Amino acid sequence: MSSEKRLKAPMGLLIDREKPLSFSFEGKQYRGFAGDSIASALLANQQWLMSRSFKYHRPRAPLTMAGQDANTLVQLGGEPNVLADREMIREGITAEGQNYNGTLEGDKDAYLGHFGRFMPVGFYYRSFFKPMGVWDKWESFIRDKAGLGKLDLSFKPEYYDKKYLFTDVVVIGSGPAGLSAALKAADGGANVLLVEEMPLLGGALTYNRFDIEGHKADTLRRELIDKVNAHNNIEVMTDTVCNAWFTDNYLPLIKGKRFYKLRAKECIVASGAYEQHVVFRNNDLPGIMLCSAVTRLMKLYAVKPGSKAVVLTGNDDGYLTALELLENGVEVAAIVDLRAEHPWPELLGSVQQKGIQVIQGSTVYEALPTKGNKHIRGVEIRTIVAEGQVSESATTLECDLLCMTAGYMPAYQLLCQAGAQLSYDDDAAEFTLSGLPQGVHIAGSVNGLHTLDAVLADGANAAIRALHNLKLSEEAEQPVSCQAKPNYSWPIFSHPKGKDFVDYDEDLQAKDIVNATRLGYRDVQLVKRFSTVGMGPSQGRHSALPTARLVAKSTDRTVTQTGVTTARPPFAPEKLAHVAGRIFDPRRHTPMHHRHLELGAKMIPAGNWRRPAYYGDAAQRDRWIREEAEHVRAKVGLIDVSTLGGIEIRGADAAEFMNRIYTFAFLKQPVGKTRYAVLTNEHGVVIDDGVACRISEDHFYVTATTSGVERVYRDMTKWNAQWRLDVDILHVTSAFAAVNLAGPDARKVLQQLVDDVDLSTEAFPYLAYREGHVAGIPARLLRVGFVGELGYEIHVPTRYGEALWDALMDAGKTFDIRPFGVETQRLLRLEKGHLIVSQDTDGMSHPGELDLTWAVNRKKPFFVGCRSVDIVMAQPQTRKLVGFKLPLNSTKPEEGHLVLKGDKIAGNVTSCEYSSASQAIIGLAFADIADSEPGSSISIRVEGEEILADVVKLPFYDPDNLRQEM
Amino acid sequence: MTVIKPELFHSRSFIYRKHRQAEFAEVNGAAQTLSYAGQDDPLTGLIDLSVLPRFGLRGPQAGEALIAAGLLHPQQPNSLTVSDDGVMILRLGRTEYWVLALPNAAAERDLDALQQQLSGPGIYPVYCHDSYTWLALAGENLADIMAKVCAVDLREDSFAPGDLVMTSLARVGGIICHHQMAGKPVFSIFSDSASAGYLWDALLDAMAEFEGAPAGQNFLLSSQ
Amino acid sequence: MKIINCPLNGPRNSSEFVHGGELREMPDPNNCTDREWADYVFYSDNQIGVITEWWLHAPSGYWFIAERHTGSDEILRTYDPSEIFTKRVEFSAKAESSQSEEITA
Repeated sequence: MSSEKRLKAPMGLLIDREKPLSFSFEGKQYRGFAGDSIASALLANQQWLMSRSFKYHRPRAPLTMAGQDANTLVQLGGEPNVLADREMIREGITAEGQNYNGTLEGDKDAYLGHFGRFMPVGFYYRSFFKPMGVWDKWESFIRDKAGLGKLDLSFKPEYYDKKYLFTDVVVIGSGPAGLSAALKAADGGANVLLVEEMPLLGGALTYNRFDIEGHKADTLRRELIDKVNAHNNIEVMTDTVCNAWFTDNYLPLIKGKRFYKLRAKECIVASGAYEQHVVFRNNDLPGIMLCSAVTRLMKLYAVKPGSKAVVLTGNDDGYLTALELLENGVEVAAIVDLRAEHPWPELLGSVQQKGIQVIQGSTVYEALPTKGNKHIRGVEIRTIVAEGQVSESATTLECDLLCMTAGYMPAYQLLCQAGAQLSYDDDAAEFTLSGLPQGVHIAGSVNGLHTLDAVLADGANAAIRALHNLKLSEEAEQPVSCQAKPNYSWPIFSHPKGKDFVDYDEDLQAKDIVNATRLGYRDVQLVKRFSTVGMGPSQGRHSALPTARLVAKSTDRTVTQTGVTTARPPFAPEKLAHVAGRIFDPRRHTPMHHRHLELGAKMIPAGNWRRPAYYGDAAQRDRWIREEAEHVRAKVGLIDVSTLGGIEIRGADAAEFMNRIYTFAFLKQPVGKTRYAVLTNEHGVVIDDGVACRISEDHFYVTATTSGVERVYRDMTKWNAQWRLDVDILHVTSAFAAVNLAGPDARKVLQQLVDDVDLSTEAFPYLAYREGHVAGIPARLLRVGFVGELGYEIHVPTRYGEALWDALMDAGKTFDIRPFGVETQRLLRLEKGHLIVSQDTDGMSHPGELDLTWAVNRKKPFFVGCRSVDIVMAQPQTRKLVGFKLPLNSTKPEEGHLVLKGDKIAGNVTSCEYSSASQAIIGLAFADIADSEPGSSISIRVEGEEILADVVKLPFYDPDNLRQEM
Repeated sequence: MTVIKPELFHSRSFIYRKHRQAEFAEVNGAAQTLSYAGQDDPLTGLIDLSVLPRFGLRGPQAGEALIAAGLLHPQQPNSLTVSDDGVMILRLGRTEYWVLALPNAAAERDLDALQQQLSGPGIYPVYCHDSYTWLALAGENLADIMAKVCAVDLREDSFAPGDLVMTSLARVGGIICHHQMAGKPVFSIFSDSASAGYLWDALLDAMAEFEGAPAGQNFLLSSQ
Repeated sequence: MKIINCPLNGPRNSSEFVHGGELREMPDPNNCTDREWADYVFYSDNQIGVITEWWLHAPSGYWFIAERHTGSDEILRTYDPSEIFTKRVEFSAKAESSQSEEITA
């Protein structure tokens, strides 16, 4: 077990020294403390190497210590691509490095770095574009070399869920700006949600040094956090990532296994800024870190980052880092300042007084590696002679740690998603954001402010703007100014031997970006697609700014003109489990559902309903359907039709309304009668059908198809919002359970249960409507003939549905009643030649094509689609839905098979079944108009074979309709 | 004495099979869950009230008819009132009203007679007893629980007692009504009777982290 | 997700709403030309600017009208259809006068 030396408290804000934990990395045991990240615990044990780079397999170690780089991606058990600098250690966890061949320490693929010139920029893009088939040769090699992490194929899903959240004001980021904004908004009376990505509030106050003495940040942090915690109006969410901004402040927040969907009235983005690296040769060696990473290591985790450091800086913050290092026992060999001018005198004096050498106007030109590029051992320093140019002469310093800062890039992602514009301020060498939508505010370093006072004031101002919008305050904003210019304008020092990385994730060097522009990819978006810059896990947090600068320079434009690539959601990687977890998938069941299950029904979806297809095992489907159909024809069957859509039309204008909606005439439909009702849309296409019952002069009950009723109901209500007829339209699908009792013995079964309706043919004829009681249950009775036998549709209030089913099944026992399913019903109606809208029709089918002109009344002044029907019917008709027949031993066409006319497609088969009643294969198909008369034949292509079918007159069964009218 | 079971009646709750361990009483010609056997009162209860009496009416004359019948009706669209004798009246939109008997109110009021009385031109019945299941979510953390299935802010500040919203919950349409019983906040939820079982399961899942459990109507009548 | 302010139900997530198309005036279906009718059924101006649309609040089945800018996607105003549709709409009979319409089913 490795030794472990930590800095003394108050260093180590996040760790609990009372709770040691052990874990393993690469098979070796390590110890850390509760609160340690995997990376901090490993660094405390001097284990720097955590992964190998994507392309060249170079050794990599933490760069940011804040989850903003891809260097710390490790495999944690079955989960690949876990950020070691964000994931906290737990007792016994097993982590491993990624992207190596052999061992992490001795990666056999490290040689790839020497072949860099054979894998130039755009390598994948250019190599696999053409010729055709080249991908097949390369795929296995690339999959092997370029993959990150290992998938656990025996993965078991865990419980992830979602929740909505609501707040007046959300503050994203709890640095000084965010804390200040949250307190101001809460003091103003708003409810505030403060969202922080890290486990601890404070942002830069938790790690950054703001003054020479080094007290300010801690004092201020304690003070602000105490106030926040004590405030009743503030709710705090730590360890929570705001992953995007969507319209009207709809924000996805991810915390643990829960995905929150936050709706905020006002949104204050205080997301901070990303410290930027300096581009020089070997700037990726382990031991080279951002200044903020080094202070995070010390302050948050009490880890001493090295013994001898060099600080490379473009601003004053590097000096403060040097002081912090010195205080924690790290020798500082030199501060290498990119700037020619000195910082403020007190700061310079303070570091010089402590014996730190300051080298102005110089840069680290190359970092010197130990064997195998495992760690930094020194730096070569050169004087800057012009932008990006250095002197010939060099000084070498030994060190085991290099801290660097070239300035900051605003964490602009959420704001750009909200529509903000990025523009580059040449003077400050920094991007600024403007043009925010109403209700979105910006505060702090993301707003280009860097001194603590300015940042705090800016936070308060953002809160004041939010309070204005909420009408909670009329307070005026305070002017804010900040003189600090932490960005050095050209921290890029290209080296002839390369390995001067712009993008660590994708192993992209300065020349790769420049070469992309030379190949003609001048637009920064094209540079991204060609070179893959910014496409890695860190999504351009560090590569965007140097890329913009390089593209601007090599295309003779300004950085504002080149801009940066779009930052789309998600901000941080999110798991599919977060998106997929707890998906709502509503299922609708009829009240008889459990009876069907008890009877062994094969249930199938019908919209979001579940319906019995037939009763029996799926292996013998055809047998069950045939038996059920024969039973209905010979005896009596019962089918649950509760899913049938239902709409009631009531009021003085009910008949007028029906007359306008449906194609048929309804004004004079007699009370107590049903009528077939077809609906066309404004294009004249048949979109639904049903049966209309006239219950009284001003009351219609009309059915619609299971999947079509929602649309029919919406169309009806929309039409009447315009027509203003005296009519009420009520959707009653779920209010009624319904069955169809069908077969020669149907009357005998029903008679046993009904004593208030005369069921005789004379008193209750075909197509009549009656009301009464079945087994004491109030019922609507319709004599309809969809399956072509004597039949009663019985509609009862849903609460009685199961009792009705039981009563009918019980009364039917003597007559050998048998339930039948939807697929059987489809066969039965096909035998009768009835079409099913949307199965036997398509988006072009007008009434003429479907032989439904008998159901269209063209004498009434209007129905929806009437004019379009007139227009299409006046055109020469090209196709028609016909019935066809084939011998039982023929190959059976399936729905969708093509009907051919010569070498042209004339139509397709829409329904096709074996019919024992017809002793044939029967079906419906769209055929060429020339082949539509009975006696013609049509050619159907079935699996490459062409079959000739006879066109026959419909219906196939009981042509005189004697059976249904019994 | 016969043990009351849902199957004894023609009229049944859409989800009576969910209440295997419950004790029932006969209400309105059906079995109403009284309590779940062998269970202490949970912090939050989910109660199936689907069989309780209720009817709906709508149309231009519906509001006037309610006033004429001596029933105060909610003044604002999307609100509700509860009378002293346990009759709840919902106003859905501008011209639709539902009249419901809360648990134990059935004895006081004959809703069938009332429904007969509330008819005439410009008044159309609404079959809310059969189209909708009636579930009551009562007790603590109601807004938090609902936030796991519903995108509308149902915290007390924006959804006070007497408020009603028509929205989507767990991706099915529904009506959520805020009222109180025995000092407990109650969300009465009305949703498609065909997906009642689905919604029941979705709500129980949402309640689990708050120590919620199914309960009977006694939970609504006992003050804690 | 966008918020739409329903005149009846107040501000709600756009997922609760169904778009009902642009509000267009129907030409007299019995007396307009084929071209006028085709224009009504098939053609849309599809221009940047404020358009008037039908929207349905699905959970309450309530249709209303929204004025929306197609460029910014901002909804400027929503209101009840009765503001526009104030009286009962009648359809004139066809030019060649109608006969008795009855077909006995």
